[in-house]
Amino acid sequence: MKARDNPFSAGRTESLSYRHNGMSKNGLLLKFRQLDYKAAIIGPKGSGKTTLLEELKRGLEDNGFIIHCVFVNDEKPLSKDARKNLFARLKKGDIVILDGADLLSKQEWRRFKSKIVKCAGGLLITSHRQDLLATLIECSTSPELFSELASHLAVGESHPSEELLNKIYAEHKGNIRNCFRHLYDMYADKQPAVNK
Amino acid sequence: MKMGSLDIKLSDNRTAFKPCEKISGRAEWQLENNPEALELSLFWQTEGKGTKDSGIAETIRFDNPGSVGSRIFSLRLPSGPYSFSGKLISIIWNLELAEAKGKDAIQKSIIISPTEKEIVCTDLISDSEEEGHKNSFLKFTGKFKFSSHRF
Amino acid sequence: MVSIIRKNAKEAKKGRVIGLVFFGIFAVVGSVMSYAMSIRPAAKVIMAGNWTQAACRILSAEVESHRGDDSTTYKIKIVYQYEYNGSIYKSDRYDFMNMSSSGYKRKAEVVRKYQQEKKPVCFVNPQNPSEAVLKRGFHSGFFWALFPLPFAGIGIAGFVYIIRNWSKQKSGGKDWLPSPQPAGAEKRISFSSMPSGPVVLRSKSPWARLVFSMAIGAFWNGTLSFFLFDIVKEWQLGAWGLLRTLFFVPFAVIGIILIALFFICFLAMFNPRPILTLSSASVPLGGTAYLNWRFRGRTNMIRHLRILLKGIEAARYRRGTDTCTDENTFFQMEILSTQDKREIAFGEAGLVIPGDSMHSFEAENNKVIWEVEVQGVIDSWPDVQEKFKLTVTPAGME
Repeated sequence: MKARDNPFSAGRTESLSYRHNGMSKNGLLLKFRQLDYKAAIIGPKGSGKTTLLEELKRGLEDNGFIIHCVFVNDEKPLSKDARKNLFARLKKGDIVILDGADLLSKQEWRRFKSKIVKCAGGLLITSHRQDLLATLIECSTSPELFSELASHLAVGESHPSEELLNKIYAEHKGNIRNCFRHLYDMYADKQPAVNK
Repeated sequence: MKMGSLDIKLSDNRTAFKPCEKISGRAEWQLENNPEALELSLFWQTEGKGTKDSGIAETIRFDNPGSVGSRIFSLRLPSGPYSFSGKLISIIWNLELAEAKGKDAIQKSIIISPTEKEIVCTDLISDSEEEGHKNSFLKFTGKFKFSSHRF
Repeated sequence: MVSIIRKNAKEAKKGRVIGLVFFGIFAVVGSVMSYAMSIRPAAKVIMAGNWTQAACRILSAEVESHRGDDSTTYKIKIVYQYEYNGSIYKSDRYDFMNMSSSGYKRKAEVVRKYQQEKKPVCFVNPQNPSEAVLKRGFHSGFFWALFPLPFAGIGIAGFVYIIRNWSKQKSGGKDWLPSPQPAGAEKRISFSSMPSGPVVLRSKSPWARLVFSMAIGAFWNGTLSFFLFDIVKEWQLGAWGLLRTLFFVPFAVIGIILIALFFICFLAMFNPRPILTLSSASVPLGGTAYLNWRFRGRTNMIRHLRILLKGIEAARYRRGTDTCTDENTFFQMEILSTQDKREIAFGEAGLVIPGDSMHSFEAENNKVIWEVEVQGVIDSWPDVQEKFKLTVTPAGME
């Protein structure tokens, strides 16, 4: 199968909207306001934190906030100069979005947080841990959610069976991002374990 | 054309071209506002298992286009990258007509390759030991001077 | 879409600048620390091999303590007097490291030994007799000298990597085409200025693998040694905890694997190294090229040599806190497979790049790579395994 036709390509999986279970997007934005615009989206890897973060970012922009995004991962640490550039641009009322806050060391986080509190209007982070900021929402996954998303993506293609999806979900311990990458490989190799 | 729409029409309705070929067409628009400028861009982007990459090859700017109008355009396609699809990566070429500082845009996919077809490499091409030397004339062709210990 | 592309390009450049500064700081600080803690002391130890032995008198000997935020560290402080060429000198240098560190007991033993020593000796620099040392050789304390080396290595490697990939060749909008980079190229050469003659292909240096395995191994085992030290102390006192010991076992196993990996990389350093020459820096699709191979080192070690031409897609995905890269080989052609010792030692082959395939392509996250892979099977030794990138251009490209 060609990469562009694979239903589980990066572009397609990243364009999935967050499946709200409980609180809607507006509800979350209201809660974020009640938490004085300082909160964390927590959850394990591949549970949709970044997806929800992007959705909330759009919502905040629609409400007139100026958003500054910072992205930290294992290959891209938060350098001193990146911090300096960010702080130079910040104005009171702006909101900083930090994806991967728990990759900062304790000292880095303390300094970053105190600077944001002084210079900006708010901070929204993603983290695997609960101890950094007040919890806005805890993201989680389920086999049913994975099945719903996989079926949504595989529209028009042969659908993977429920049994197969449950097996993949269990193998990747609920990390839906890795589950999608697994399905990508299966579709790319045209493996026979998919059902029409 | 409906109100608030953009369109790109390519000559002869072609959507597949050779590298370095000149392509021409017409950009048309019927908008509700009067934009400062419209831009026609030729760009490539990747799709597949990796994070998206993209690159702009050329941009043509139409200043003061008015809310309704059309312009003929002509541009020379680059030598590459070819339109390509493997298992992990696809490279897709698009023409995009968009308001310079707005959100409205339309895209049209085209193919750029010497065969005017997407290069497809989804299956491994592996020469066996017998066939391998079809594409590698390793010291067995009489015409080939093999500069080694054999001489 | 296009506005996003322009914004990403600007941010990518900013990112590279930030990366340069980050790795630059690491490189500078790591290098300064390496010089002060490793290179300078090691150089002094080597030079002190020629210093003259002289009798000395111990004036005072004690263990100095330094109270820090979290713990107390100790340092050997011995003041001694010696005579050289009729002049009397005083010194307090014990060795060329003499850092303050934890571990009082061993330092106290050293001090006690010098307090009881009847005929202590020191070593005097004949070029500068005011310089002397009590203990002039390498010892286990020099283990700490290795500490800043990985930081310097990471900093320098990161800095060099960003510089080398900084400016993609830009003529005619060919940012996506990797510049051909033959061995010995001082800087990134633009595609259009590349000479058309034969070029020696560059492979990844085995030093990089060795340094990397050393850095990881040193860091992992260095950290683990603190815990191992505690556990051994507990065993000696008969107060060892089974659970604690069992918990430590998997980490110790990883540490042993890393040491083994380092040795394999070290042994591979002595492998014969292939030198490949290609008839031109880049080859167009459907074009012909001549590949010449020879080896530096003992080629008679190689029992079986294979040379392959491969086309590979590489896609990197970054989302959340993770990055993963996948590869897929879409083309493979065997250029050579031989056990003939003479053919292994050197030879030449012509090859035709398939005209209906895909040319080289390089973007930030997605690449199409063409490479020549050299596989040399060596019995009871790490195999030769090196890859040489080549640039395959679109057909008819000038």
